[in-house]
Amino acid sequence: MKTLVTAAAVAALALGSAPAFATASPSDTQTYAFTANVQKACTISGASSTDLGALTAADGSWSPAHANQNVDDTGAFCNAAGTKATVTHVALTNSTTSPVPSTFTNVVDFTPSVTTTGGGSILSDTGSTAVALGAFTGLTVHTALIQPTLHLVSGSYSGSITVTLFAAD
Amino acid sequence: MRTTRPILAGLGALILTSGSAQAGTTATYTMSGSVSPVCTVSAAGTLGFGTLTNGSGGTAVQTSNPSATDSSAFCNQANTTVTLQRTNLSTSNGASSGFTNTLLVSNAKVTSPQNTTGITDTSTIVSGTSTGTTGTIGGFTALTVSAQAGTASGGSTLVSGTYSGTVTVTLAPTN
Repeated sequence: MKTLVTAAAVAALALGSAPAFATASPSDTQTYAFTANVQKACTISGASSTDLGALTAADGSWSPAHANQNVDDTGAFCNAAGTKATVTHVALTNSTTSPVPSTFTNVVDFTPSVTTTGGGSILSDTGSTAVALGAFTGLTVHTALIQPTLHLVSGSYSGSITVTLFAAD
Repeated sequence: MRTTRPILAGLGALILTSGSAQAGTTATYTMSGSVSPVCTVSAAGTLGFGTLTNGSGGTAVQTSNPSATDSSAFCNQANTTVTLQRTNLSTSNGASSGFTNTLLVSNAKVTSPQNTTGITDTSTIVSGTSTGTTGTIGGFTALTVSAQAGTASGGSTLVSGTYSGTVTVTLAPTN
């Protein structure tokens, strides 16, 4: 009897435990989400000054020492893919000479452009409207002088290119 | 709590995003250059007055206003000044009583395509060369010098001979 009872108990135990095993066996999934963020970083490392040298020859005729000049801003960086930028420029001007004689000029215009070392788009003068640039590393600012149709008055000339980044993901 | 934290974090990110997008990041790259001063008067010219008298004698009748253009003259300095001096026309031939070997010269002038008014030497000639007149000629791409023969000195009759004189242009280049 003792044996029978034990067997019955085992059987009952087996029967009793069957439903419990059936409930726990299907797989159960839990997803644990992780989040992080990368801050937008858009920097232009610094303003620089570039001397284009002499714009004319000894006889006063147009003969620029550097008709095309690059300025590298290796520290420029932007990681925001939707970044836009404006590029504007001020022509080289000798503002100290006045009055400027007829058939002479005190202005040398140039075509500005901006390229990147990696990523990004090539931009020329955009005016006030920001255009897509994208994420990039390194900027090169390029100056292509335009020969004036008039004689240049003597003196010192200065101009600039201004790049403004509008970071956006 | 689980619900509240992500919402607050999201608002914070939104504020940071809109703030940086408006400001922009700007750098200005400055370019400079120079144009050296050049002022040259390349060649001396000759003002030809031709015959100074009429066929019947030594009375001065010359009224032309000859000029000479130095088309290679060039100056890119906008406030350049010029000093103009002149001498009368004269001959080394001796002049006896009632005659003269000097013809007065007036209206010596220098002009340029850029300055058609130019500078006129109105100074007196004490002896030999006038004291000169200085004015701003500015930048130029050519120079034209002219002069006008006047009357015989003292109203006398001119002795025969070859007469010569000068108009001198002195530049003082100024930016």
